Amino acid sequence: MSDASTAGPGRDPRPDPRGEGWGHYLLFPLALLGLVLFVVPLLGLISRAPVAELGALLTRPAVLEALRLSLVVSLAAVLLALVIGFPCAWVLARYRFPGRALVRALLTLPMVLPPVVAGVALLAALGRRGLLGPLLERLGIELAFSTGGAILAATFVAAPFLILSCEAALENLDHRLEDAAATLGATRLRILWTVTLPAIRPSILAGLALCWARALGEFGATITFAGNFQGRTQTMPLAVYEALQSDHDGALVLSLILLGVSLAILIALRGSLRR
Amino acid sequence: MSLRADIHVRLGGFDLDVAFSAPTGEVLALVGPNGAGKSTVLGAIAGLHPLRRGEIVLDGRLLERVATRVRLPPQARDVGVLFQGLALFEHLSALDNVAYGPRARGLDKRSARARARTWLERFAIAELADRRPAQLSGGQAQRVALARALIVEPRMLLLDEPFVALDAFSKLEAREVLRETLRAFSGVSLVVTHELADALALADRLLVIEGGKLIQEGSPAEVMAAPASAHLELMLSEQRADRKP
Repeated sequence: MSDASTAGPGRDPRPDPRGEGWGHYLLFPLALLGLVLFVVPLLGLISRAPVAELGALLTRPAVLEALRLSLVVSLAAVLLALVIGFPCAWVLARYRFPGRALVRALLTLPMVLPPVVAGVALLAALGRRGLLGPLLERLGIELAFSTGGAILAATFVAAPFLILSCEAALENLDHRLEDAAATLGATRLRILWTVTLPAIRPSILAGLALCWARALGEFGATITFAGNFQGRTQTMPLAVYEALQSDHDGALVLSLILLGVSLAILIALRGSLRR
Repeated sequence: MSLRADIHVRLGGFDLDVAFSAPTGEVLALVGPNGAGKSTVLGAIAGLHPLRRGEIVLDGRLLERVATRVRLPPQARDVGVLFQGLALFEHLSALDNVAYGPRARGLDKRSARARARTWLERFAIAELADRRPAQLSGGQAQRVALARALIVEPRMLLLDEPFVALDAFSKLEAREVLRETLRAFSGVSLVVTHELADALALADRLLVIEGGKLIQEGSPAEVMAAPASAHLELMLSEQRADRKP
């Protein structure tokens, strides 16, 4: 029986003191602060960009070179990440072997490793005086301070995004789909090609987009391992960094372009995730 | 021509130990509570769970014998499976789902589709050929899955909880389709179900398993007359209660 039903006439029941509480309202101003923190720099970039000179700046050889190189390097890195990353994800998701946790940790380490450390590590392994330097030299392969090196650096830091995305999708895939294909007579490779890959397509696309975004923005490992040579290893982020020392407007324009590309990736990503 | 199975499987500390045989054309129902190991029996026959001990012989053909290390992969067993949840390929049309088996066995795309179409016709769903599984009702999806399993002419048919995802209306229809299909099928059929009513409606003979062991075997009438466990007795009494008007 509640207070209301037992209270006599003329006497209001005491209001129940239980309520929603108000402490959670503190989260609103903090959320607003977060929004400001993320939005203000973007507004700054857009407001300061020399829109009038955009055309002239865009056709500068250095800018065009950097843009072209960025596309080449990041797309090559994504392709390389797919070719070696998917098999990594597949082995991790499908097989239980001793040291699996360690392998998994090693494959995802580049996500948390400072990129400059990745660059130093690559140099120590594949540079002229690195661990495999003499071997590469005998084979006539020069990676450090070359476009190949820039691709390798971008792959190193970006591939884990693809690997993790694919591995999670493979782990969560209903094994009965593959079982069904097997009982129908499909070989393992055919099952992979006709059942597994189509079923996890959205995750692969999302992984590719994240991987590409990371490769496109790669700076630390690239400048450490591949250096900053226009036309060879100077990708967009490196060009921004260099322009900032001498040509402020150029840096702003280059940054604006990168912002546009990132936004485009994000929009594409949302589309592929929603499927 | 028949099935002879002596199945020992260990799955995460759980021992499954079941032996049975069946003449060709017989419809067996494997009943028991959840976690009794029913689906594992099915997986073992299909070649999806390796045996620890024992052997499986289908139509005089050795599928697996641990003692002599014979183990055919699922691809070579000629065992058709209707999976729980059906496991239709979501990215393929109903037609291409059915055509998957013939394609996997090397038939060209046109011939495989033509054969698949005749199977869709057999199940009276030819007009759904271009639909994706997501656009099918539960009963329609089950027909597609049955057609997909049967088109490769398996020697045995395994059905894992065929009614579990169906609403009450589709279930009546699906049970009728399944009864017809099993009657027409010439090999051994094994239906896994936790619902006694389904087993009684479909099967010639019941296999009752609990805790990984076969505790009773017999015709529906025999099992109903003398249930071998308290759980089975409870299921039967619920079944009788359901039948009352």
